[in-house]
Amino acid sequence: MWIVNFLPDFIFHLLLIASLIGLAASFVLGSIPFVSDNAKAIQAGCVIVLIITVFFEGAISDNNAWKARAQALELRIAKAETESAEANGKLQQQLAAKDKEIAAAQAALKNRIKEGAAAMDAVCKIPANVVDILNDAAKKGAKK
Amino acid sequence: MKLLIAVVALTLSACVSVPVERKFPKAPEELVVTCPDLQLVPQGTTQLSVVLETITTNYGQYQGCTNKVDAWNEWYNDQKKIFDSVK
Repeated sequence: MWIVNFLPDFIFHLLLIASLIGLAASFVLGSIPFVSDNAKAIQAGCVIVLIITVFFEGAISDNNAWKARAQALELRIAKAETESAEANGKLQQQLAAKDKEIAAAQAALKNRIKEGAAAMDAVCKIPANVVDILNDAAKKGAKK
Repeated sequence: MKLLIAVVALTLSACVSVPVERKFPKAPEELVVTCPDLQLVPQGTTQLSVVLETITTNYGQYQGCTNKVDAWNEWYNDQKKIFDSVK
């Protein structure tokens, strides 16, 4: 509520108290000439101010309740963001470990190929169409 | 007319903006990378060892991409769980 945020709360508290005092005074202090002469006008004014301030007292209370809920939500969001960052860190570590594992396995396999290259190349010559088929298989569905 | 102005002022006094903002979680940079293309066997090769090496490299790339897909699934499940925990 912008009006509640714009004006300090104590203004509404003061107006509420003033309207109650004014209303009571208009009934009790009938012996005072000014009050007895303007009793109806004072009562009407005080009742209007009372209604408006009661409305805004409710609004202030509601506003404070929403502020408290927003703060609690902000705390939960901050906690969730921390958890999210932690989960990302954990995932990055797992991914790095797996990538390292793959790289190590690849290196070991390529060493084995190098060691056996002479022997396997001596017993097997690859026909040209085998290379074409393999390359076509690698290209099919590949990004363009 | 005066009453209408008073009613409008009172009604507008209840306007409020939402103070809490949520950000979409960021994925790890390693995941936001496309998978490389498969390697091709050099044309005119007759050596089995060259073909075998290319195939081995492609298997390695496939395993790397599998890890990324698995990591994306894990990321989504974790982040959804965290997102749903905030109510």
